[in-house]
Amino acid sequence: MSILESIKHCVVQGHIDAASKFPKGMEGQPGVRELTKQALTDNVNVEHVLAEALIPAMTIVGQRYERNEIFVPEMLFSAKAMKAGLELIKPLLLEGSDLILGKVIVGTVQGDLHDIGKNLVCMMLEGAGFQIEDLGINVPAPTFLEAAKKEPRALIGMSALLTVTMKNMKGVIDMLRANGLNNKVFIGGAPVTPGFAQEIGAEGYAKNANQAVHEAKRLLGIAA
Amino acid sequence: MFAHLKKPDFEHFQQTLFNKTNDYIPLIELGIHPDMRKAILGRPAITVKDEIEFMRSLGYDFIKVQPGITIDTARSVAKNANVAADRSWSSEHDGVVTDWESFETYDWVKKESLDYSRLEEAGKLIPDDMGIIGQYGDIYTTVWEMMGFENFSMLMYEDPDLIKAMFEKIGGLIMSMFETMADMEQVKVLWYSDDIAYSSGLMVSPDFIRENLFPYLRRIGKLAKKRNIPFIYHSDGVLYDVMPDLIEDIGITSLHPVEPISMDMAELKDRVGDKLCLCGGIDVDQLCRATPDEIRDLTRKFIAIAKGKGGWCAGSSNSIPEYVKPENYLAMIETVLKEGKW
Repeated sequence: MSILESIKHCVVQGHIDAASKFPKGMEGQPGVRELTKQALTDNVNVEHVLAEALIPAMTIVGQRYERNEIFVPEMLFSAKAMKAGLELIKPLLLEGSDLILGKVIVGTVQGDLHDIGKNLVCMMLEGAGFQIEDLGINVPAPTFLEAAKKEPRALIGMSALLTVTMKNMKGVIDMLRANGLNNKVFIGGAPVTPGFAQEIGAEGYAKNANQAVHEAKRLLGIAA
Repeated sequence: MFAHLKKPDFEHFQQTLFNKTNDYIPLIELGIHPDMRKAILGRPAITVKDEIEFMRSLGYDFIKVQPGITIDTARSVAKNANVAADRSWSSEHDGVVTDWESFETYDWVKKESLDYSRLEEAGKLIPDDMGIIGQYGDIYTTVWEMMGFENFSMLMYEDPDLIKAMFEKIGGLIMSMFETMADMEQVKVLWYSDDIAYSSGLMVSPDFIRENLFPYLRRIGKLAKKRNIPFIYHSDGVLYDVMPDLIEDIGITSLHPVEPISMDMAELKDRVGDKLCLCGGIDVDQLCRATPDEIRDLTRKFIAIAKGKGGWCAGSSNSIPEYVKPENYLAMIETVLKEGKW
């Protein structure tokens, strides 16, 4: 197995580093952190690490999650493994690289402190090659607006857990449009439906973290 | 309010939960927010007597009572501009128990401090035609809330013994509640609630749930069976992966709340309707945002699914929070009481 294949395998398995006990049977073996360091020492092109190992691995993870073959904990391990590799190569990736698909501003709307789903979306988007600006939880509409002003081409992703807080998504979209900003918006969260997305003028809807990647690509006109 | 439309008949409600009636649809609800009670009753419903009056006036056959307990899971509070009530949220990163040291030093609730006085009072005040549901739950939820979901997820694999110890602590405490409630003659239904699934599937693997949570549910199932009383299980989300466990192994008689975004009532009725009474199903989102006429039509669709078959207790697809429109909640109830019979 080549070093890139090994990195990819470890991300899919969720094996972060040699100290990690997950998954069973891989304890003590090099994980994504050690293998990525090795790849850099061996002068493997960082773009290849991203394009041939980290990104395709997270695509597989997303598919396995959608098929209920793995669940949130296992996906978290994979996402953390991917991040361990990404952190090492990030400083070496050229600004404006074709591998950076675009920027996504993400946040859980005001009144809502829920963020497992939002964090998974961030991790999956990052794993697919997007740059993420995570505004966090309980984010007021003006904060989304300010972030969008700085990044008028960025996508905006919003999350909410409750019917009562998802109403705040409309306030964000209205504020963006009233300020002449055309950032495309996609939304998700337990009570959110495609119909609601349409009703409030969001361009996209994602049922889960993996679909968020497809939706972000669709909104930017990138082939899946 | 609706007392003229229906007198309570707890025995019929119980038999419906056993999936053994086929003449009219009773009402059920896991929670009704105090502000909603106040809006409908015209005054706060605080005492057991208020609770009986409120539930009876709306056409319910029961009151639901929990033992008194407070577990510190370090929840946060978010202010929300849309509603009067602030909401509390569990941490998804940090927790009050994240390692063995915090496990050992945490001030655990003791069984002796659980308060059953409301259940005892309810036993004295409940009219003959109504009954008491003893309800609690959240073994799984309390474990992850106390640890923070990310920590919990990592520790499932990094320190499974700590996870096991957490389930034993919380499970032991909550099992003692169900054992006590099952010993109370006035408690005639057991209801365990614990969300284990999202609208896309289980939160954690079925094997983990089978190993850590279901042994407790199996014990509650045995308690209910011994008393010959119904056992309702509540969880949001898609539960098909563990449905055979719930029905055959654990022995639930009734499933709540059948969220439409997760499981379709008609499909579920086809798949397990001969084995389970289904409870809830009317979309909370619709109860918040639709018109009363739309709610009446939606309720009629559910009535049509149950008509001639029975095995459905009508209610919301979760609970009635303060932000549901009161007129929609009442429209749902009135439609069931007037049209949910044959």
